[in-house]
Amino acid sequence: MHVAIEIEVLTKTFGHGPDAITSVDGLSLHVDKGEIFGFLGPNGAGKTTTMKMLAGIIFPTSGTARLLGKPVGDVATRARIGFMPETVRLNTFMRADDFLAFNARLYGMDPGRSRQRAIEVLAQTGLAGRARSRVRDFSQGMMQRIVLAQAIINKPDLLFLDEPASALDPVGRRDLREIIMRLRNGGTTIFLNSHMLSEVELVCSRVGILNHGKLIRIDKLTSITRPVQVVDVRAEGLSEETAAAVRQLADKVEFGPDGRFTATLDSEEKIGRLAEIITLGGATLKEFSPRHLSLEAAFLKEIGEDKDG
Amino acid sequence: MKTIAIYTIGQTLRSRSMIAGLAVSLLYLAAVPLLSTTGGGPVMVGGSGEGGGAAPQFLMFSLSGLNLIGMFMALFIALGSIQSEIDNGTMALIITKPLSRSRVITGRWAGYALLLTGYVLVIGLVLWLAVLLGTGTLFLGFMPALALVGLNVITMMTLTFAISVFLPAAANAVLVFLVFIATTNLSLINIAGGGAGGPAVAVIGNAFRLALPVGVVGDQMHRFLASAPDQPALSSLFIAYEVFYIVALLLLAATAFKSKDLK
Repeated sequence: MHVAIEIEVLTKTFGHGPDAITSVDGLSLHVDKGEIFGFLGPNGAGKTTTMKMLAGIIFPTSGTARLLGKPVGDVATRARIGFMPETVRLNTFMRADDFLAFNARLYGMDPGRSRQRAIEVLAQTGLAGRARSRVRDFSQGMMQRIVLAQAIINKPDLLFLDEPASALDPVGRRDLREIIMRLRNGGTTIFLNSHMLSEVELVCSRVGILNHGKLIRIDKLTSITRPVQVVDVRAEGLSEETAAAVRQLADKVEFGPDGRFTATLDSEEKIGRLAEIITLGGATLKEFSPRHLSLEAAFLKEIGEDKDG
Repeated sequence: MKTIAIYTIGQTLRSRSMIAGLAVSLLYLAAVPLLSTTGGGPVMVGGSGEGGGAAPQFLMFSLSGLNLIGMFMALFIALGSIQSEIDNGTMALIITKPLSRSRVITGRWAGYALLLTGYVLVIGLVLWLAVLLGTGTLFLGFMPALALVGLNVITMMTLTFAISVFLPAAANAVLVFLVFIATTNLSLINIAGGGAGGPAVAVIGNAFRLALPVGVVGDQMHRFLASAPDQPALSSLFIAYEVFYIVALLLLAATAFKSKDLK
């Protein structure tokens, strides 16, 4: 069994009759074990609803989902799962270390082990110095760190992160990335909801894009942020003949000073051919940068918000 | 379940409702020095209900007060028990852990029940000891009466707790308070109806009391204190019903929570 998450035709409808709103509409997807899967979509697309269904917080109207080979809701399987919700305003009387030890106890750890894990995850999430601070007094960013800490206290095989970086400062985001990569290296599967596409781009191997409750694209990150066949070049000693050959190969070429030019090609295969023409023509390549579609641009294009068409 | 119960106790001990309830309870305790003493050895108050001077009135008054304070404290601590934790997101963290939703409910209920039982027991025993030491009067009917106070307090907490699965704190408070007032008024109707020779009114009154059976059990508590526990079977039935009522509400809460979509 290499699949960590199996979702089949999952649907969630809120309300009844004419006022009913379908938040997730027939969603099907699989996430492999050890994968970091990015789940993207605009506000109201149904990402958080999907995650809540997978975490057992809300129940699907129809469809099924299995986590680590067991149906969602299986109590024993939850011992292997971590969940970090998007918005939590913990109003607990507890201090940070006590709160985490309490969460560890809920995972069935004995008091000694709970206390030890609490100290470890406090250090991992950058809260070691706040172990005796009351959780209710935490800032939003610190709250997000401690909610992340409780999600990883059981060293999960499967981790759900819902907008984990939304309130984090750059240091916090770096720490989060390190935690994610460390967990991935340890074999943890991570299902990540995020609006921070730059963060997703840095850690995810595959992404799914949800819009109006439907999955509109699921692919490897490298396929989504594919080369767009525009190449920025700087070449020394470019002859007129070589320049003419470049013009012939490309759909469009814009020459600039110092041997710089930008070539727009009609296929990915021509990128290699372009480099070949330049070097065989006797010029020295100083810079050769095929442009890639950023995840943000790809995302906007997929959801139909790409202003450049 | 134990972890949830301990968490609930810790959380409740720091709540304003609990602190306020304890403060009011202490005011009751402060009335003990005002009691007159009978002097001499202990006086046993049994069967006839005689003896003890001002002590019986004080104990009746203070235990009735404890019954009322305890019930209102139970109401206030359990008001937002489930819905508030759903709203602030804490419940989402708890139910995603490897324990069933029914265990979350029973653990939380057990925490409140243990705390309130402890509260009733401590305050009640302090009252009893104060009367014993201050007046030398030993009330035999006190312990059963105190047990009924505990039962009433837990009943009130269970009703409020069960409603907290469905309603937010403010709506819960209004609903439980209305039920409490309604059943109290019905008890008056019941008494009036019985006194006027209208048995049908008494039957209807008792039937309505099933909605929150603390009134009849409270009456039974007074009888114990008056050392006259030999009452009609109806009161015993109400005590049994109150226990059933607690179990039924707890089951209802657990069942409803099991299939509830959280925020």
